[in-house]
Amino acid sequence: MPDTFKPWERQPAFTAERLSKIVTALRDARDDALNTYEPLKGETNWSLGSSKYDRSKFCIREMSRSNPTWLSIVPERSVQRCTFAIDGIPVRFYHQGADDPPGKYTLSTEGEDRQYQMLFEVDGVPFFPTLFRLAIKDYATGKAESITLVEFDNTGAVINEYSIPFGVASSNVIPLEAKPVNLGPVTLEPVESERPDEQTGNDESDNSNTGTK
Amino acid sequence: MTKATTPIPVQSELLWEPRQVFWGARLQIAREFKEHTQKMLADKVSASPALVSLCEAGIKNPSSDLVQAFGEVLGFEPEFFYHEVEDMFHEEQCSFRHRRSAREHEKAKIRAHATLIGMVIGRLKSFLKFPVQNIPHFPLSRRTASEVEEAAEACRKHWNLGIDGPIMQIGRAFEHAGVIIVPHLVKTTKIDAFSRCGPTAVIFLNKTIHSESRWNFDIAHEGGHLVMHPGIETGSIETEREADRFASAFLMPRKAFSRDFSVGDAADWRHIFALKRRWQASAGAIIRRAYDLGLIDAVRYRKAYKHMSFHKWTVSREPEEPAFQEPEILSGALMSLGNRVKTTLDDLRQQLHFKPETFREVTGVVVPPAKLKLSPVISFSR
Repeated sequence: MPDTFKPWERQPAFTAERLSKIVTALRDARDDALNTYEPLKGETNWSLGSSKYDRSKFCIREMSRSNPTWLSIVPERSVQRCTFAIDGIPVRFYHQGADDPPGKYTLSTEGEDRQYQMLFEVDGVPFFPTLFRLAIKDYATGKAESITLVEFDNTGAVINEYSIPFGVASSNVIPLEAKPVNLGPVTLEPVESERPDEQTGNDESDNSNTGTK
Repeated sequence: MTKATTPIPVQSELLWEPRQVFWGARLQIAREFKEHTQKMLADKVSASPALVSLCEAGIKNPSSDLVQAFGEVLGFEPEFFYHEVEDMFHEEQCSFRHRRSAREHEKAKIRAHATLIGMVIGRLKSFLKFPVQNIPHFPLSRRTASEVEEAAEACRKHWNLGIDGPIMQIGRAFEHAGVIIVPHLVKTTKIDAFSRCGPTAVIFLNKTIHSESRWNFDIAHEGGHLVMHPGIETGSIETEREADRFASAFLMPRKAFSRDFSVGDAADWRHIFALKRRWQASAGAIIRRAYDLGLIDAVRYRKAYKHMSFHKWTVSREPEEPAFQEPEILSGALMSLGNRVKTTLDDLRQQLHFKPETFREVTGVVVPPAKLKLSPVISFSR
């Protein structure tokens, strides 16, 4: 499939910068797991895979805490499942080729369905009838080689792919935002004839009439 | 030799003396404020409804005991009825933001309440320097949406608010322009707000529906009537739509809002609520504004509205309501009595001839019982 697909044209939330930030963090987390992998102490491919998955989940959760404006965790019934949302659009990741996804990843989860309902959905028809996944491909050494954003239609067929570059520099463009207008309170001055006399020691009863002290 | 007769002390039994003309309009205001029909009042004072009607019309001058009875039933001192209404809130000056099911007696009560508040403010103005009324008037000639947008922008410019940023204290923007905002109204969900354009411009806010962002919109909506519809009968679909558009444009000026709206994903409620926090307007108002400005299409607008209806946000409190800046002029003026001005709350109540309970109902402020002022001089005992 030609790599002409631009995710941000399909979903403005999927900016190159955000996607790169996520996949770079995923790659680093998974490579860290690989660095601590010790087959000589009894670890196996199974434990390595589990470690990579758990570290990936952890790093996404941590990222969502530091980038709460655009990244969030989508609650799922199964605690093992990791679904996150970029500006509300749900995404999951799997470890396999982009063109060869595990069957369960071509179906939407409960959390994703709920998330799509949040996207202006109430009457049962999905607003965005496609699913987004990150397909993680490793080198033979186990290090992350590439991470691809894959879009599936509702039959599970791949309709778009985008290989996400690692380490895209953060933009230093800050959206122009006008300052809010803050207004002070209106103060009412008494007319001359109503100004109280100089304070004396017996003005307690005056204050009591206002109900405040 | 004639036998000396003792005069029957009819008048002397009364604690007050009628001095002037009886003002029927005051009786009507008091009756409507207490939500009494003429028949109900007549039953309570043992008179005929026709007599009450004639008294209100100013055709019949009621006897002193009847006036006293009126006062007792309606919560006013008898003297209340012997002063001219200096600033009557006439129907043509008043704008209601209400549902079609709002009843006439509810509207009459609010008008009466507003007139009584007008009396309170009238008295307060003799003790305190209120802001000078500075409401720009932009009557609409073409009555188009763009003309309303221009009126809202011109109004913001007139008050030096700029047309870029959100206004964090919408009530203060109007209070600085001399508009009195009264935050309590009858307990009804049928009427959202009410305003009056006249010598004393007043906006009444109904806080029965607890939604701060809606209150902001209501204030701006009523402000729209004050700016665009002085002397025009409001309440039609057109005038209400214009006031709604004015409120949207005043709270969310088109250029700045479009820029903010387009930065995020229009399909994501989190973006809508982020805008809500920034612009202090309800999510519903934001969605509508986006639709009016062509930032979302009809399908998305409809989906959003259905979503809001599903969650009952259209009729009750939305999530993530902004902090609301309470109106300050009226409460500040009342609180300064006895503090920063010599006249006390009780003095004011007596000058207005309201009974304490009525004063509380009208102003929302309880008059504390006047304490005896102790003399600083202690006399020597003999």
